Amino acid sequence: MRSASASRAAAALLAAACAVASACGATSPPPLPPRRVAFAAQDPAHPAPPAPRPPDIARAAEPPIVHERYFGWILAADLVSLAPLVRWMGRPEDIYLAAPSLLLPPVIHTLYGEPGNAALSLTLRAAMVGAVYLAGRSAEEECEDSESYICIPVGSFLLADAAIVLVVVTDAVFLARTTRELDAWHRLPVVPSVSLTPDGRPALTLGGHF
Amino acid sequence: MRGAGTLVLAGLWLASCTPEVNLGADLSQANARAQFQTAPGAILVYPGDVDQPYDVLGDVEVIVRQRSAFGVEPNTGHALRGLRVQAGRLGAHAIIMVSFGQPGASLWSYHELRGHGRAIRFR
Repeated sequence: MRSASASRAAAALLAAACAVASACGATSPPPLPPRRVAFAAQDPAHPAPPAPRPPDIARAAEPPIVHERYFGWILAADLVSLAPLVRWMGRPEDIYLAAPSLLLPPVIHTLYGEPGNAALSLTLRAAMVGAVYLAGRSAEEECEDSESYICIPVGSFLLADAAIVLVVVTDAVFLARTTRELDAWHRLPVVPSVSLTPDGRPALTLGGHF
Repeated sequence: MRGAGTLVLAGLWLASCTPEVNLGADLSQANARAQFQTAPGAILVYPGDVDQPYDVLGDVEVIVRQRSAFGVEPNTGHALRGLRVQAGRLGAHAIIMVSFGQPGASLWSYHELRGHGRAIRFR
């Protein structure tokens, strides 16, 4: 799920949606050039003054973090599970019809390593399923009392619609986000560094692959 | 009880004021990693390249977004702070070739600003 192709696809989807909306004025900066490998040779007799450099702090370097959104997966799960959920309104005894809508998105949150968001999503969705159940019962009562040939329980449908939209949007926009570290960083060679020990003495650190 | 409620509301209001910072990174051009972190506030920022020999620790990226209609509009200062935080984790001495895109609306916010740069460590 976390593959580069998936994130590229999500970015392309976002860009396409943005282009369709045609209201998105924010642009990306121009791409950075490839890494520079050659530097001008310095005259040993007149070396250039070294660039000022901030001192190291006594804390090990860490992989860069990446903030990601995975709303596409949540929306896809909802797309798949909404039809059974709506069908469940008319057949409340078939509880399995509500299960995908209740469980699929929390499972996606868990797969992305966000158990807190999964619990929140499950709570929201339990409330949504409850509201849909109530809307279904309310629709039944509305139509039982109706004497017309065709009964359209508008109020109940609106209640179910509001509950579903609110929860799906909240889940996709606010909960479907994660922070991860780039594992590729661990494969890079370590550069030598000079730092200060807690008692103020300089320490030279070397790293390498063997 | 009332005081706690006011505090929570004030906290929410303040949180909605500061722009949302989304960090990213690309290690495709990186050739090394540092042993120790550097203080983000001390990291130097250059709009162009530098002539001193250096190792590339990675390309750092940032997107800053206005959280709500009442939130602070993101500017290059917010974006630079985000870039420095990411570069500090990597142990960078400087961020070079820092540039920003055109600020404007996006799918996620009315005001969004994107920027990036190359985190380097002088040899």
